Amino acid sequence: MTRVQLRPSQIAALVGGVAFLGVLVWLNWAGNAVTRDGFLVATIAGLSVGSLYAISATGMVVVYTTTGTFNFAHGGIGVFSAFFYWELVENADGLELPNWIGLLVVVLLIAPLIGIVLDVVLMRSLRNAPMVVQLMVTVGLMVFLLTLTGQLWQGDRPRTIQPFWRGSGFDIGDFRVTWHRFMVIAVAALIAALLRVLLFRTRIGVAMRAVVDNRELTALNGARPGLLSSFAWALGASLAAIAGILIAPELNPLDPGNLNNLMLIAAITAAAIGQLKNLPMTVLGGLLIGLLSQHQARWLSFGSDWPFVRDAAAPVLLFIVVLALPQSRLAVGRVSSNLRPIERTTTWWEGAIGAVALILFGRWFARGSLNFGVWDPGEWDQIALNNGIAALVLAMIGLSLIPLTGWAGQINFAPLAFAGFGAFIFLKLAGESGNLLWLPVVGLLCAPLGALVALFAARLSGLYLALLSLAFALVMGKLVLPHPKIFPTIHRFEDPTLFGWAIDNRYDYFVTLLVFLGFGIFALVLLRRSRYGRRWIAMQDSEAAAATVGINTMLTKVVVYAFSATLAGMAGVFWALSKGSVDSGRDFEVLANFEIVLLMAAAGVALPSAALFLAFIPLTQALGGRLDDGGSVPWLVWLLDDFLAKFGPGLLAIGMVVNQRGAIFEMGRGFAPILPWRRDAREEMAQERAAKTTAEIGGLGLDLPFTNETVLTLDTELGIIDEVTPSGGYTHGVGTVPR
Amino acid sequence: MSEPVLEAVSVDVRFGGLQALSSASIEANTGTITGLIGPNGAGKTTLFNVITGHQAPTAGEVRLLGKRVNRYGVHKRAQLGLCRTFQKLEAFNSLSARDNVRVAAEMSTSVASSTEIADSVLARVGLSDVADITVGTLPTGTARLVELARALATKPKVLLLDEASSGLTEEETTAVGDLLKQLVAEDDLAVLLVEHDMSFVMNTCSRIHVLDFGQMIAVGSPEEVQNNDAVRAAYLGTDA
Repeated sequence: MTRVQLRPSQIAALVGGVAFLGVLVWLNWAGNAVTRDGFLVATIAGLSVGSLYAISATGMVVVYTTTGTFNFAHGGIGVFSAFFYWELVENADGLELPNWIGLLVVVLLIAPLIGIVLDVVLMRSLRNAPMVVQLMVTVGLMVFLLTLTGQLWQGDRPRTIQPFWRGSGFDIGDFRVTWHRFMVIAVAALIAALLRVLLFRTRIGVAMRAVVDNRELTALNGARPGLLSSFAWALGASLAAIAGILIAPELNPLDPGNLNNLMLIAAITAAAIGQLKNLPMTVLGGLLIGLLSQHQARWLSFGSDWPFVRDAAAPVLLFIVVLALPQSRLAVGRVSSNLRPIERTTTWWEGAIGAVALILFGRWFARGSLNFGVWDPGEWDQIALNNGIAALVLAMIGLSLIPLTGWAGQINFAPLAFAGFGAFIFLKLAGESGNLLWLPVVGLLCAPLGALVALFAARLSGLYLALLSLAFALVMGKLVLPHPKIFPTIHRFEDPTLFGWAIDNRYDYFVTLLVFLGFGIFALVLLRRSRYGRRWIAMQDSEAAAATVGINTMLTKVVVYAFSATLAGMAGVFWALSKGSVDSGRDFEVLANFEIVLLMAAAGVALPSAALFLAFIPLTQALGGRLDDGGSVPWLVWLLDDFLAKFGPGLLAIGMVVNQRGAIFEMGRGFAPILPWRRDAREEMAQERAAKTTAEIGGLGLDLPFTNETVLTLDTELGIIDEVTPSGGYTHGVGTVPR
Repeated sequence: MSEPVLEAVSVDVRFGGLQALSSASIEANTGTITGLIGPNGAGKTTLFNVITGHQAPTAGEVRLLGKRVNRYGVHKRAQLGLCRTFQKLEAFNSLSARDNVRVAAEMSTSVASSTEIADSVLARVGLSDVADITVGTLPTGTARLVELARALATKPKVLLLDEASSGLTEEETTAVGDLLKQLVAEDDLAVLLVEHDMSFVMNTCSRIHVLDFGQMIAVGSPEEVQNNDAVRAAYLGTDA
């Protein structure tokens, strides 16, 4: 047991956090009389909700400590389970099972099955993958599960899950407390006790705890890591299912996104309080979040200025916890072996050709030439053009991640927070005029926000950094940007202008965006070739070594974040202008951030052209919509509009299981040998082929099955072959090997 | 002899209850190769970390070019001319060998001349053939030489090598030894190295410090150290 030592900065963060809370309470006191009954009821409610957060977080921690995968899909599993439970129990056209049986079926059968399938099919092959890849695959899985749930149970009617005993309960003073709440607390206590017995009294539990300390050593001592990880995933999924089903009555009618946000953020925060490994602290963390949110709902009133403050307690807490708590050593993923043998960066003229090609192709696309002869030629309709514009804007926001995440290795789940900030600055400076000359000023003013985040983030790495950026995205999206003093709830912009030229139609705006995007990609190609590109990548590869050659890593991070914020902020201006209005309550949803980061990662976030990949969703929608008008190929419409546009991002990210460097990287690798000037790519291919052959001979009998052919090769090589028999078998010095 | 270019004076490092270094002192002089040896866990790498600024000492002082640098960060000491390699390989894996060296050279010169410097340094350590190869795909020994080249490209006054020979073949080890001797003779350089390969140490270093359980138990020429009873006891575990 090590004593927790707080550094002065951590103490300052804690004191600051507590003082902030104090001020918050003082300013927003609702004026409800504090009675014993009121306090008691809020406490019971808090404990009940908190128990569910605790159960959910416990599942997350068990999976993380046993397998090393931090599972962002945890909430998604809970959401899917809750809907499945609804199907079994609540659906009037369904089985209408008794709720106890429904709960048991989902928790003991369906959820563990999901967990085991995920482990065997996806997660095992990620054991040694870089942390970013593991994270992106689980985030992709989350998006996939939410989409799947939304598609299976479409929003055609409200669905509700009744609390157990249909909400009956008893009264404390004027308040009613349901039996459901008591049952939840009892179930949580039971689960905690069972887990304690499992982890300390059973073979498998002891092995799971041992794996936390040293996976290889545990395996050497006879534990079976494969079995353990499947068991952990099954257990984690069951716990997510219990939490999802029992918490659903708090949120009726059911909505996948809301339920996931509630469960995921609370679970992550509780897990962070437990330092991602300590179960008792995790449980306490869950209870704390539950109590905070319920007491806040009873005693504080934030009025209309803080419309989403109810959802903000956990993110704010997460922010404080990640910054203030001492961090445990994290399981570190290995460096990807998936490197190019010959290192080569895009040349400036390749970048220039790419940018020009993009602009020409984009104009051709926007003019409606892309109709494959299916429809009458004509103007590309406004909806399709709007989708094209959305695609380009997303690509611009994606550009901001290339230097930050792709080169400097700083995971950032908050690109939209920076973009939103840029839109806000533009609104303050340019008013409603839409004058694009303000763009550089907006960029400059966004830089300090990036630098500020860098100051917080500089000490963190890997998973904690990801969690911090997530908390930042949530705080910006829930508290700061929706505040009416920042954005009017819905704000309208006029048509953009540039040097007095009014860009008053969608086609002109599309082309303007194309030119800016092409220029941005070209600039990043140049930057990658400069000393800064090399320096940032060097810092990602080894911070310690970067410092020993004289790189100030702190300053470098501040610069990279500031630069990324500048790019995102300017993209945010185009974003606001393209929509013509910004709805601050909905546009900064954390899920939208996830999709941007996911697609960038799946494309290969280190390559400037990866940003074009973000165009994927809007463009498939555009094509699907266009085909719909044609009415001739319904299956293609379904494929593009219903399947690819909705499931694409999640599936692409899950695809990183096999393709860790991203799609663009592999596409480029396959394509490059055809280009006449890419002799290096052809050499690389030849080298790889040679390396593969050596590996096969070297790996005889170890990685590959020991077949007749390999024995034959070996014998021929060694010159000890006696006679090859015509029947297919052959003999050698030792005996006959049957075929 | 002139003032040492690098001095660590009475360095203490405590990790909780573990005294990793107690009052350890070491110095390195321009034109010489100094060795630091000791059994596993003696505190050699910890002392290196204190010197380069990766680890803050509990007590004691580090002086570089006569200047107290305790409060300087790693990069600032590097800019003063202190560079190191690592026991556990710390190359820039996703960059080519040439770019690894360029990143270091670029800290003080222009982009154009950094390419020249990189190519000449790579030639010097015998890596011209692999200049375009991604370092993450190179064998460990070769990647170690890239690290050495990278350190040399910073034009250091003091070079700290942590297990420079591990992963190298015998010929490569000899070549590195010769290269180091040549460097300290020609350039304005002091080398301090931690090493387990005793014949390498004895052949390369003119002065050797021996660390055991965090304390300096012997200092002297290779012959003196080899004949020192305390050193034999530490290595052989006898009470000789």
